[in-house]
Amino acid sequence: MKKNQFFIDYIDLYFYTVFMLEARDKNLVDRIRAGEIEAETELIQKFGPVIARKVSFDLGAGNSDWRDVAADAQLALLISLRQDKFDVNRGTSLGSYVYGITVNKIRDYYKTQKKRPLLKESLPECIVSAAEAYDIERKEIRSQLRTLLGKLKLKYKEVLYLRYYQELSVTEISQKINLPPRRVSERIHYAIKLLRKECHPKKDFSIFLNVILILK
Amino acid sequence: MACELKNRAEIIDKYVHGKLSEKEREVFDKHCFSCEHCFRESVYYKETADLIKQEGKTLFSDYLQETRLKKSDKEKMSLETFLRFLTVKPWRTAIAGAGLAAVIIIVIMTKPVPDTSTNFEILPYLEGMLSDVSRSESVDVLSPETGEVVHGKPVFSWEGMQGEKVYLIILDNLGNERFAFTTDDNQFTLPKKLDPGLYYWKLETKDDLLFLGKFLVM
Repeated sequence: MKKNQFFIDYIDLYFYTVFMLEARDKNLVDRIRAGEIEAETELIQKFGPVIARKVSFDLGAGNSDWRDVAADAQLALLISLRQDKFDVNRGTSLGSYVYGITVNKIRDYYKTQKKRPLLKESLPECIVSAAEAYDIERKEIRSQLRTLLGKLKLKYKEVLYLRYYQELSVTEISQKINLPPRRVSERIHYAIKLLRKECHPKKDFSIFLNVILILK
Repeated sequence: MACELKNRAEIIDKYVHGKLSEKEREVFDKHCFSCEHCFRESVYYKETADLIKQEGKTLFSDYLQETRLKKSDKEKMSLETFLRFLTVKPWRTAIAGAGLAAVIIIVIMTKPVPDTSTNFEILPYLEGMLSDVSRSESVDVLSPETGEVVHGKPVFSWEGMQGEKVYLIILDNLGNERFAFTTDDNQFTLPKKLDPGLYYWKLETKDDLLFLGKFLVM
């Protein structure tokens, strides 16, 4: 009985959270429609990093065009919301909607194989600054990770080195260090969990974005 | 928000390595647009993976040093362990020694002995010539006498033809020329041993056969 009650509570909480989030997203979209500039900044704060990550990941680390493609996606998102193209009642979450726009922009980029020249002057300030904020945040995370990786125990360094430097599979690592694959997998994830736990960037994307906007 | 994604760590690990199928990748990407937690996790995995890929050798220099030391220690240890195994108890050394000796004896005993019986068969046409030329008047052969058994390096000596250039030719029992030397001395030692068998030897000048003899090497 207790177990069932737990599940009921859990499901309630889950749907409540989803409901709350959807309500918050709906409110955000309404404010953008109403022309509220702060709401647009809030939207970019929320989706800027994930758009940037998706675009930079898909275009590849060495492709500097990702900033323009990400900015293009963010602009398309803002315009689409301003023009009331996102229908909250259609059952699609705002996250999925943003994902769709981002993927379309990446596809457009590959279709034309050249970036469309962006008129930066026409972009809202929050979009211009988003890529910069994302870069700063990544650098902050990297700097902390660099220190933390050096402090890890040798057994964690071993699996991380074999997995991410030598790019061996879990099975190959398991044979190499004579440990069951399940344990290897756990050790890798535990090592990253440790890093994640210890890594406390002093500021995150939202703060960087706000700072950049204020300074401008 | 509580995330319902199962095996998140494995999925993100595969995502970072590009091992998700196109469909799985799409589902996870879409999920990240709505789930801050998974997005953050994937950022940490990606940054960690990229950082290690770029700076792994520097970041993990102590691990690499340790691995190198372990490897050389392991090689050293295997010999040391074996020697210690032998020396801790003297009877082990004795058994190992006896075993080694037994192996050597077995190898020697089981080594196939080449069949040399055919090496002693006579060659009829040379045998026929022996009686004709072995009693040459130009030279008087001292050694090896016809049919002599030779041990070690054969020494050829004769009298007569002093100061004249002669050719010394050694043939095997099939009539194949094995060695040919030129000398103006009347003694010659073959620089190497011959395999067991019957050999014929000749002394010739440019125009004449002076002597034909045979000897056996055992």
